Amino acid sequence: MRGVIAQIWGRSTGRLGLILVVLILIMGLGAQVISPYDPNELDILNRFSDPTWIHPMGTDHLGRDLFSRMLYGTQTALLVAVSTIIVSLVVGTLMGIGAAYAPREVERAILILFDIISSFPSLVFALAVVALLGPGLGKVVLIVSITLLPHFGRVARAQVLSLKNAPFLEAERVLGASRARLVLVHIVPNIMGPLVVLASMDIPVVITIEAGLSFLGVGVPPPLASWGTLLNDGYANLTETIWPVAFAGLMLTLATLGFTLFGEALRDAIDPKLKTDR
Amino acid sequence: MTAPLLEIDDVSVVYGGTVHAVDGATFTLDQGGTLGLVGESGSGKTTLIKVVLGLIAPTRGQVRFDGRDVTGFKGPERMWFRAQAQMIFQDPASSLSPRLTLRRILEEPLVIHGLKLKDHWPRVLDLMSAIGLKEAQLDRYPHQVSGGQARRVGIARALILNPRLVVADEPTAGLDVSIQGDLLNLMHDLQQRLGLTYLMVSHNLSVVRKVTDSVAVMYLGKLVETGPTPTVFRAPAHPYTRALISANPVIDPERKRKHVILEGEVPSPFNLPPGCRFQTRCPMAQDRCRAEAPDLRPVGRGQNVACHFPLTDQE
Repeated sequence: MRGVIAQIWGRSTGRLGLILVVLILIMGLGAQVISPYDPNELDILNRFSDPTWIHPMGTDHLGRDLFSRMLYGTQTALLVAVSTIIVSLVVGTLMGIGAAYAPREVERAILILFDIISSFPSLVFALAVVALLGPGLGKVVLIVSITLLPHFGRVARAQVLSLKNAPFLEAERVLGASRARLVLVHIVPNIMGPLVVLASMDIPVVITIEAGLSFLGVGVPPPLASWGTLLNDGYANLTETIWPVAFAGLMLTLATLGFTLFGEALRDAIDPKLKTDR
Repeated sequence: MTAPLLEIDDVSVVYGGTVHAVDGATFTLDQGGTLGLVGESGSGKTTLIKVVLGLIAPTRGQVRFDGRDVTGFKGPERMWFRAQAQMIFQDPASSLSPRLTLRRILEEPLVIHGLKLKDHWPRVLDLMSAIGLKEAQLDRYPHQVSGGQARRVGIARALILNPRLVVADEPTAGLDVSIQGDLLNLMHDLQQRLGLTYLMVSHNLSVVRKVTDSVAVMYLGKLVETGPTPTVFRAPAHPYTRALISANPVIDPERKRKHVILEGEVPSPFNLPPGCRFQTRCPMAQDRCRAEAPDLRPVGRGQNVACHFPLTDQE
């Protein structure tokens, strides 16, 4: 583990990614501590303030402190990203392992389901779900998890297929190990590497989708701060001030860039074989 | 004569309805004996041992262990058999779970069979000292130990549950000759001490000749000859066995031997020749061989041979 971090730190892009990720984690996790103001506290007299010492990023159209809202938006982004990745990783991996072990028809059905999910436009899917169930944080997590299922499912299935006939699994079978034991004790630890890498590379994807949905007003409902809603609020008042859009866009860019660079460095550190030239 | 521990009775394994990986294999193995299963790659040895261990159900025929049908085992009976019949794998490194320490790997058999570590660990330590493993090495991972060490861990793991039958798949493959000797001596000592019965798969005929007391020769999924090792090696009755043995160098300048060189290639299992499977390469094939497949039948001296025209003692 320490070796992995050292390897990521050893490359300039990895170092930049790691710094940005740590920064974003501090902002998100420490939002309650760092925020100078309550993110929902209105100060109509001070609306559309430019960045000052009192309001580091200025204020929005309701006079709310943008810096505080940005911190809480970071928290929302991380919350959505982490819970989505966990749901998707667990369910997708189990489906992938199931597909690898299931009879051919069931395997086909699961793979076709993956194909349907990945070929279906996720935005249309999101709009449909929101139209049906209404907006909400949980629904964003649900929608994005489902769209990411094929990522983890396909990789998990491929990993299991390449591992399925390994002699050590046969040895365990000869000893009498149950199928559940084979999967949980012997297969899962051996396929986690690429899945964890994939998970870290999917974090920026989730962040962007969440921001996109929130921007369109079908994501995180107000008054909860999200980079997407901040971007939308700023966009509506672009004639008054440019700062909300600039800062929200900057945060989104830094987060996506940071997690992408980090993910790539992590991939190269964990499994040099997966390295691709990009 | 004790009753045989293992009886293979007319076992066939057919893949996809057409490929006969194993066809009508029949042999027995006595308690405490060592049987060598020989044959070239693709002859069905591996499939046959998987059937013996109950990992593959035979398409036809029966495997009986201690008089009980292996394929019918369910639940507690299956777990009993899992403790009774164990396997030593060909490639020791890849047969150990790569993310577990050697200690965890050796605990696996006990955990799987619901045995208390506390009660059984002393026995594991005894076994380890017999095998030449030190407890200090146990916190390493499989990739951190040498091939010889990994092999010893594999043997220890196979013996922890006190099996009666041990199937060894090419136990000496990839070892240099001196280590081969050490390993075979170790296996022999363990056999004496623990009363093990070995089913050993090998294509190293020198090893088979040295350590087994009976031998079964496979060719394209069929047993072509079975019998006591000294008899089969002295007077092979099947032309294939003769060719196989003559291809094996023997260090004995006094002994003049006639080399039998086989012509042609092993036929594809997808497209078997009619009649005897060996007829395309047999130096003495006749019309009957091309028409009719021979069954394994006794030819005296405990030997069984699947040939219409078994060789008689010519030496």
